Amino acid sequence: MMEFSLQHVIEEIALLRYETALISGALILLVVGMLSKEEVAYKIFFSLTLLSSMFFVDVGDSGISHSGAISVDPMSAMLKVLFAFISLWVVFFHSSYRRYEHYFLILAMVLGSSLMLSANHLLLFYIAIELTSYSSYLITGFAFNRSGYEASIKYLLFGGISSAIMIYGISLLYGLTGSLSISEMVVNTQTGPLYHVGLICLFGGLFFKIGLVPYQFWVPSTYQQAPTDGVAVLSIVPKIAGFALLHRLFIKFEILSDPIYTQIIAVLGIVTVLMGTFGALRQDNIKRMLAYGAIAHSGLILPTLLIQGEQGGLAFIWYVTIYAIMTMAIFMVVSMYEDFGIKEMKDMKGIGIQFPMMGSLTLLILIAQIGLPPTAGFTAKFYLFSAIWNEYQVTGSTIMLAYLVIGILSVVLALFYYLKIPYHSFLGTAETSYFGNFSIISKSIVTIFTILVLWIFISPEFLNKIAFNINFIGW
Amino acid sequence: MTDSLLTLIIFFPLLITVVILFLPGNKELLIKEISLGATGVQLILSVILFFSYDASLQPADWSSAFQFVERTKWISLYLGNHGWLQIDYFVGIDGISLLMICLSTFLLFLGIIASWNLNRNVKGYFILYLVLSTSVVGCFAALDFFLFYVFFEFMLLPMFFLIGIWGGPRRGYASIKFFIYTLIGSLFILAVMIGLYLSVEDNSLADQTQEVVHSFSLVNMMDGGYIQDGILTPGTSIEFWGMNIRWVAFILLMAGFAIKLPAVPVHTWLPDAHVEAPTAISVLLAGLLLKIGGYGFFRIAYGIFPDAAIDLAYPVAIFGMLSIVYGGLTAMAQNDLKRMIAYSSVSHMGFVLLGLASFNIQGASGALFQMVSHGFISAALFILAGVIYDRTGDRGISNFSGLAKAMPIFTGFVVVFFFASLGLPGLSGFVGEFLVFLGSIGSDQLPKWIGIVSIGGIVISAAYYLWALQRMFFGQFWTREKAWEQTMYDLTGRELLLLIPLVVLVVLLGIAPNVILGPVNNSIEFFVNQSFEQSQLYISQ
Repeated sequence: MMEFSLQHVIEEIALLRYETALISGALILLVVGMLSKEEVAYKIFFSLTLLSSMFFVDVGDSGISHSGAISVDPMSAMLKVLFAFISLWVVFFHSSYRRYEHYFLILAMVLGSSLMLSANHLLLFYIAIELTSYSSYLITGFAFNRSGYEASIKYLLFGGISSAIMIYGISLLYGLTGSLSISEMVVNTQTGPLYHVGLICLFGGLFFKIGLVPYQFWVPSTYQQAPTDGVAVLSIVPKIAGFALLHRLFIKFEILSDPIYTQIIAVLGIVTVLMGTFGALRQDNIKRMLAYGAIAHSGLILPTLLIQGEQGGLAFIWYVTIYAIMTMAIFMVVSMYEDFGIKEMKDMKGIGIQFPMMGSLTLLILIAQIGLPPTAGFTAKFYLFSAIWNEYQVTGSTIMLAYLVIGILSVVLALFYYLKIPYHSFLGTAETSYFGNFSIISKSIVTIFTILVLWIFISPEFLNKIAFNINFIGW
Repeated sequence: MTDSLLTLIIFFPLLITVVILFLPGNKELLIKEISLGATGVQLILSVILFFSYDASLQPADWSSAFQFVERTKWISLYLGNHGWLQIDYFVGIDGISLLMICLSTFLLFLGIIASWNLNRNVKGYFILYLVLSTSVVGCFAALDFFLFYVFFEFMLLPMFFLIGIWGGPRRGYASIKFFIYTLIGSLFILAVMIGLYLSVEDNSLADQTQEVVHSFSLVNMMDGGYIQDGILTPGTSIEFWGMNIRWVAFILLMAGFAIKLPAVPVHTWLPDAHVEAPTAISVLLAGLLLKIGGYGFFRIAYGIFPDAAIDLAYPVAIFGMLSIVYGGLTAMAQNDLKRMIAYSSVSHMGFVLLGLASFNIQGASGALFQMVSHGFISAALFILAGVIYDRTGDRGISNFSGLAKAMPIFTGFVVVFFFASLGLPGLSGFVGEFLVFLGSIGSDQLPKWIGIVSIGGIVISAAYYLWALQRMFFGQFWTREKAWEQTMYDLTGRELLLLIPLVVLVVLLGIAPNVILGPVNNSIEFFVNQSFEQSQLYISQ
């Protein structure tokens, strides 16, 4: 066994600066919350925690800790910054009073997700996933109503089962390789059927996190019932972390060299795209529709993991970054409409005419979600389809061509469901006019997001530079 | 000034939208005047463009075929082991795009006058209108595929709202249908675009970086700057369902642009969109948006895939013929005047397909001439239909009779444009159709019967136009509702202002087609010859 000394522990913690900052922030937040009933106080503290943790990320860092449990690299560093940056906006959601525990749980979720990125040891990995999951279950119930509890319990049950499957897989792998550290397991790789059963069970747990078929059942009800600011984080942070982890496991366990795995995963991805797309077509509730849309997005991010080399990694970074930005924006918009009491699309009739500014912003963000120019959503889809085309050109694999066709088809269908919102809000005739106005702060933040989405389309070099500093192959 | 003349023409209206954005919504007249001014400036600039275009230039290859070229790097991305991706802001014109730009700016200017009486949500309307005008002109000037695609897509949204908010009773249905059809088409184009840029490299840039530079430049694609073993490189052995992938790509492009054109059987969005759209938007839809489909055939489908185009000339011509005949027959069955004109558009745009498929100079210039002439004629026809609709709120052909007695001047215009549309010699419609027939009958690729059957299209259009004239305008003056009789006053000054320039142009082009055929002659000749040579080269690979 390895020797541990104080020196090593300090080194270990140094690698976990970001997480340490989050943990301490989260704990102090609990105290602040108990002492002060002022919402502003813990909102400020929440944002300070996230902001300061961002400064602890060192993009240049890379390497595995002494104990082999933690690995740090530019990819995880970039995603950690993204997580903190995206979660920050939660405080601006103009919604009803939130308890401080809410913000604590969001911090916990970010913490769990960033641990997922750094985990190089299956035990740590499991704990990270559980931390993320438990905070997600709780946040789902934070609307404190009957349907919220129902969604939360549903989510918990599904999550519990998938955790059980995953830990079963981990135990199989442990038994076969004699280690829980990923680096060591890879060295002792076995090829027997049990090894593959173990791997598949392990992936199953992650597929649950990212909402991939056949683990997508929790998504719609969770999205619909959870508080909107919670859903915004929930749909971005743990999902991206799940994908990144899956990416790393695919590389470490050399999954992609096995065409059978690639084929099966690609088929699951295609089914996910179809499931999300066709599910979304039938929805009338805004958040439920967005949930199915998010499932379709998951299906579209998946192929980037199956494409070896820089093209896949580049497409991945692009897609998840833009997904994070536009998803945050759309949920902010949704919460603004919720303040008007609007939850169903048919309630939006004529609101775009009465508030043209808000209507146009919503429209632009939805255009990005669909993936049309002139928005960054198009750039992301463009990279994605380029990468898939190129993979097809290089390998000639039919499943990639099928993915391309289905992906493009899903863009067409995305139009039908995403555009329902502007369709009702601009073309519908309002029965009554809406009272009140949108808050200036929320409106300006949505404007900033919209400008960001447009700006990345016009000058993408900035994001590309970031994406290129990341070494996808070695991570 | 000529250095950035094109950019100025493209983006001037967009600049003005920023001004309008900050005006209060109740200053309606001011907004209208500013918009009129913006499109007026655009029109004047394009007239300058027309006269400073050097028509005598005889290009040697595509890279020297364009004038007023502006090229700035827009996006260059490093793709790792796949080299660089280079997207440029790259605009320039040859004779074909020159005509299209002039047509656009002219109709956009008229469109503002046609929407002068609008009183609902004026600010939003004119902002969308000016955004639309930027994207239409940009589409015709773009020489970078990505830029073209962005303009092409960006046209959809303003159009969607212009139909959807200011349209008729079934506007929601019509605008969604329009949007979905066009978007599906543009996704076909997107798929081909991605395949193309992965197979094309820009040699001029590659020298400096020692790596492959994947370019979106249309010029480069037309000149055949392919990498070895690219997916769409000529001579590729990749097949999809037993068909060479270049052929598949050509078919996808054709499908994409055929939806926009529109050709039978993907034309069904057009009548709905036209019927619901306000008059000015119908004018733009028929006059400009359909032309983008035709222009896409010229510049992209035929320019880049001449090998597949020559090989597939027969089916393309069949679809052209089908559009001519089927569009005409359907027009005959319509009772709504606007719907009839919409179907006649389908019929007339069929000539563009047929002319291109013949792959000779007569055919191609006929197709181009037909696009310009149809732009003027259909614009006028929709304005005329709008005149009746403004007065009565109805357009049913069977709801009116003997209008000639109440509205003699109006009827005069209707007669001129109906005859122009059905191809009376001396008016502009005749020239394009005649050239297309010459082309299709003299073509090496097409059997004679396709041209001969298409001539039948003229008889059909004569039938529905004359029948409509007889039913609506001649005979005893009568309207379905008594109240309409009082409202049937003749053309107002504004309407005359709209129609007179169109009449002048239609007659001028009919008598002296060289006014526009002259400047584009070299471009068309080069287009046909170069495409033919390229196709032989590609097939031999």
